[in-house]
Amino acid sequence: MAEKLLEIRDLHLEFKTFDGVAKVLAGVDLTLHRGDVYGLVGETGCGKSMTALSIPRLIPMPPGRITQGEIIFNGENLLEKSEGQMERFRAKHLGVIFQDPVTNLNPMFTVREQLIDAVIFQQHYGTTNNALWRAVMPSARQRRKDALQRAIELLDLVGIPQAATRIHDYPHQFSGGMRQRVLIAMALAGEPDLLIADEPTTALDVTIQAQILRLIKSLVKKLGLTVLLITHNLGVVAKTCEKVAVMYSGRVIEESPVRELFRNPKHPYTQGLIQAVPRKESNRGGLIGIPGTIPDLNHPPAGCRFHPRCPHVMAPCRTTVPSASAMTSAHNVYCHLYPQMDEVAT
Amino acid sequence: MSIQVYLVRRLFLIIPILIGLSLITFTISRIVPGDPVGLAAGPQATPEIRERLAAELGMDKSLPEQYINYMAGLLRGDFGESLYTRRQVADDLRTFIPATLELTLAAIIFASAIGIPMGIISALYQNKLPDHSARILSLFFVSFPAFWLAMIFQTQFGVNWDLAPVSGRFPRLDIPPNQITGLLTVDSLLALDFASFGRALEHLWLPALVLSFGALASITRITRASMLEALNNDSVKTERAIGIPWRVIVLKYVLRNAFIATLTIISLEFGWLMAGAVLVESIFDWPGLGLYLVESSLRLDFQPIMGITMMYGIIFSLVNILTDVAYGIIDPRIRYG
Ligand SMILES: Nc1ncnc2c1ncn2[C@@H]1O[C@H](COP(=O)(O)OP(=O)(O)OP(=O)(O)O)[C@@H](O)[C@H]1O
Ligand code: SF4
Ligand SMILES: [Mg+2]
Repeated sequence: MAEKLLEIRDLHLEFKTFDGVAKVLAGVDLTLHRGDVYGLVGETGCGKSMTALSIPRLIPMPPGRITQGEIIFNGENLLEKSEGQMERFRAKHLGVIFQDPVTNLNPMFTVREQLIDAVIFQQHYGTTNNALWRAVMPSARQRRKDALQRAIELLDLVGIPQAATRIHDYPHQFSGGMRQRVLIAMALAGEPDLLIADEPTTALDVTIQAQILRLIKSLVKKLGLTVLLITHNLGVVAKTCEKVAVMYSGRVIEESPVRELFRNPKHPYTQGLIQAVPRKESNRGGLIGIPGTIPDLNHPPAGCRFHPRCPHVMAPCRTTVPSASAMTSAHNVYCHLYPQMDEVAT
Repeated sequence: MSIQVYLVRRLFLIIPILIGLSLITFTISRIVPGDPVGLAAGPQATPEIRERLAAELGMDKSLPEQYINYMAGLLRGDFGESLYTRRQVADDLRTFIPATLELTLAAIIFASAIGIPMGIISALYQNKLPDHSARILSLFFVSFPAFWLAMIFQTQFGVNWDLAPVSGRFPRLDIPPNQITGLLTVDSLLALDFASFGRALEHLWLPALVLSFGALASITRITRASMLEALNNDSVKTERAIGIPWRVIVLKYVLRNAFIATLTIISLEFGWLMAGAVLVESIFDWPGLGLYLVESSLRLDFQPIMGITMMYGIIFSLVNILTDVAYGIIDPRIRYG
């Protein structure tokens, strides 16, 4: 098996709000190996984005606060890094793309300007201390010229036609799908180990969605990327990912290879989800169809947070948070229906 | 549309504005009760003298006729003549406008140079000590009446510490630099006359500083707000996520996004400062447009009042056009049209 790239262990995240403390993440466990295309699914508000943003440490603190847990990347705990170290880490090892390609590019700068900065700061980070100074010095001009070459290659790589001329355009001169390609190029400028994609296709229309997903898949092969793909669309997971984790109210409740999850879901919530996907697989395979509502994060149910909606609820479910049960080596479920590996008290 | 075409079109659009402005000012200044001819002729004037004077000044004609004559004069650059001093208004304007422009420009430069960094720091340290200090400081400066602050500064800096002359634009007995722009600091620099530059600056900085306080608070506040908004943009999250250093994000990307709002407030404040300069001008005995306007108004001296109003109109319109052009330079999405 490939080496572990990212391991999130028992991550707890809270937000201070006006009416109390929202326990947004309550013990997330997640393991990505090199080369994985890993899907993270769940209903809106279940904490997918918060999990993803915890990795580059982009959650505003305060109001956010990580109360427990570790994020281990290549053997290092990211939560122990200083902000300066984190900046360097993001430049070297991470690429992140977000949902809305329109707002995620700066409208006032050309694609060239933004992409060149991505190239320069991701490739040369830390070679001299004052990066801003370098950016305005004459010696830096050559560097920007070299970076332009690389930037054009990147646009080519993500499939933008006539990259050498289009690069001088402003974001508003590109279509949504093209902008998402530009953002992917920016994320990949420094050849990161991990690409985090938070609903990268949700804002795009269906045909463009498929193109972007195909692009990401092809890049995985070409560049040896590892991808964490967040979506609320099981269809996207089925088409794109090899492994998947299902989240419910701040926890991963089941993780498994994709085919196995669809064929043999173990967690009652996952079972509900998969039944809810219409047989004829549509692109809108949304997560609906389970009676009950998502828990209030300020006053979450004790024990298993799914218990108020669960058809199989038992006594321990109401008091004890279920821990992992291994179905196979890669298939874990967090549910009292299965033999608990260890007991975790609330 | 190219920027040249845009500029020409905007410049032509000033004409209807000026016609409207002149109509209003003309009507108001002629319907206020008063006896300008009598004032000009003096108390001993006989009716015959008064009639002659009225004819000479064209005031015996009907109002529409007077208006048309005035506008015809304007086209030739003739702003008429003061009833009181009998000087050409155009000549007066040529001396007073640069004085006020120089004062206002210096004030807006001060206000921006202090206000923009203060706003940026406030936004970066939102609700922390630097933010609170900046807000209290700017509150402090707007809350004190300008004339009071002017006098305090005048006594402290001018008299007690002898850091600045307390009145005028230039030493009375010295020869000012050749008039090119009319701004003494600029003209002396153009003439490479650094001694004169120093003297002009010495006179300028204190009144300009006092005047700048009026704009300082709003420039700080708007810069803070627009910085906060720009910092909240998704693009900032992306830039951080892919490892662009924070200072590059702030100084290059966010600042430019935030600057449109700051530019707007600067151009608005420029207008306000220019209109409000009269107070500072009178305290510092600054020979500017505001002082000229007050004197002329007290004497019901039509021609200068008209001339000054028209000049204000022209300057405001030009500042507006400049601002719009700058928008287009900063934000590529803005098209001229
Ligand atoms: N600043 C905040 N203060 C309080 N609560 C927050 C804050 N940010 C996020 N949350 C809460 O955290 C929870 C998880 O949010 P998150 O964005 O991770 O959801 P998600 O799974 O990505 O949903 P979606 O599919 O809508 O993107 C949500 O219920 C949200 O209300
Ligand atoms: S732990 Fe209990 S309540 Fe939770 S999903 Fe399993 S059976 Fe249902
Ligand atoms: Mg989300």
